[in-house]
Amino acid sequence: MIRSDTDDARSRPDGSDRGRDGEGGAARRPATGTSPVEWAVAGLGGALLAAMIGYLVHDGLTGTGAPPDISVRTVSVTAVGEGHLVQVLVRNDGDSPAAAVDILAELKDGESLVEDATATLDYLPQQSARPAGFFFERNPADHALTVRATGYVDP
Amino acid sequence: MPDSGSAVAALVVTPKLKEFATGLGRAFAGALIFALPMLMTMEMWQLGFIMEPLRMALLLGLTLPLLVRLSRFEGFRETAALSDDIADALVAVAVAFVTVLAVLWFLGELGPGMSLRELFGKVAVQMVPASIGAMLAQNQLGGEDGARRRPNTSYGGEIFLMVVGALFLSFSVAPTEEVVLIAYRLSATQELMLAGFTMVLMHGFVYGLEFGGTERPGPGEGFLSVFARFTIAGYAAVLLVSLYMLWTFGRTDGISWEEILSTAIVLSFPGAIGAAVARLIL
Repeated sequence: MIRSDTDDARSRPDGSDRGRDGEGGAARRPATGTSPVEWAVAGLGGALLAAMIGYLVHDGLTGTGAPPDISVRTVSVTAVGEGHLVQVLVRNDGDSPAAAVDILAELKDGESLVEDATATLDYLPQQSARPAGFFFERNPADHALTVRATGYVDP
Repeated sequence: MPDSGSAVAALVVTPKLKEFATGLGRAFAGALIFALPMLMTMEMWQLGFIMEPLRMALLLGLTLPLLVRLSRFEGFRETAALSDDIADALVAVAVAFVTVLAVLWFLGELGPGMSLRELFGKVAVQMVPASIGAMLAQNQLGGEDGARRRPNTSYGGEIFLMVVGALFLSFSVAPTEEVVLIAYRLSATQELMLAGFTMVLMHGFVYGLEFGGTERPGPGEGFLSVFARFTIAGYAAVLLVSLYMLWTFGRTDGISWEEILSTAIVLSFPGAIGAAVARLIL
């Protein structure tokens, strides 16, 4: 649709004055065309939008909706002030996000529990990883260390 | 107006690069101002990966025609043809993408260990308010001698503006827990009163108070006619927008119809204020 209000006699074709002439406010600015630079930026916007919608639709149609599949990997054990810090990376390989993920770290000697520590992740999105840490008084190197997720709720 | 076709063609000026750069700068400012409250809301980050991907895709897909239509009313410049409006809308999308990505990164919300799904989700959900903000920027921030277009808006146009206003204001409220909590606590009587109060406010904002763009009822239009055609119809549109937002954000899943309706009434309260104000300032 072409706007017909652009053919106002007071509009300047060269755009030099763009309706700033103060002629009672009735003057209209001339319509502005689209420059190649703007088309380039618009093209970028279109590509981004198409990519995002495409990705989301693809994800929505092919996603299995599989429940959270949470695994914990120990990254490092370091001595800190009063004891030892165990840093871990919690991964969710499922197709659903998890909230309030409880992580339990245990130090054991054979079957007997020596010390345990817990941490809670507010959110763990699907296919993503989040760091967490545990503090122990005893040195984890002297015992068998296990870290696992014990529960979550659906966000 | 004889030969108006060629007259229009002759009067379409090619913008200077500087003008486009200024418009672009304003668009960034608008995206930032309008989207910042949402960019700093935890629920919005979480929506990025909690939201159903197909619903998010639909929301993004609907945003484009909304921006194109908005560009008719507002936008970076006086547009001559539909293709120009589409260009403006896509520029707003590009601006929104860059703004959202940059702000989320500065705020430390994008980090290692994030999947593409989480990244896209977080950015996509914020792009909707940011792109509307980018599109409105020219009007709200532009110092262009007040010669901004006062569109001789049709009835459909007025309703459209109300929908945009409602969408915009309810966007920042819909993801929060508070909406559900308030709806949970209100009795049916209180909800009816809230709905009535909302409509009175809507009508008062648009017709009663002497704001800059206060609407005047046309000659021969009775109070009841105006109230029914604009305020009641507008409130119905706002209620539908609220329901759509709740559905999009997954707030209707596994919830009873009564609870959905009362949540929609609560959400329509800010939505209706947004709708009324949109008719005044847009």
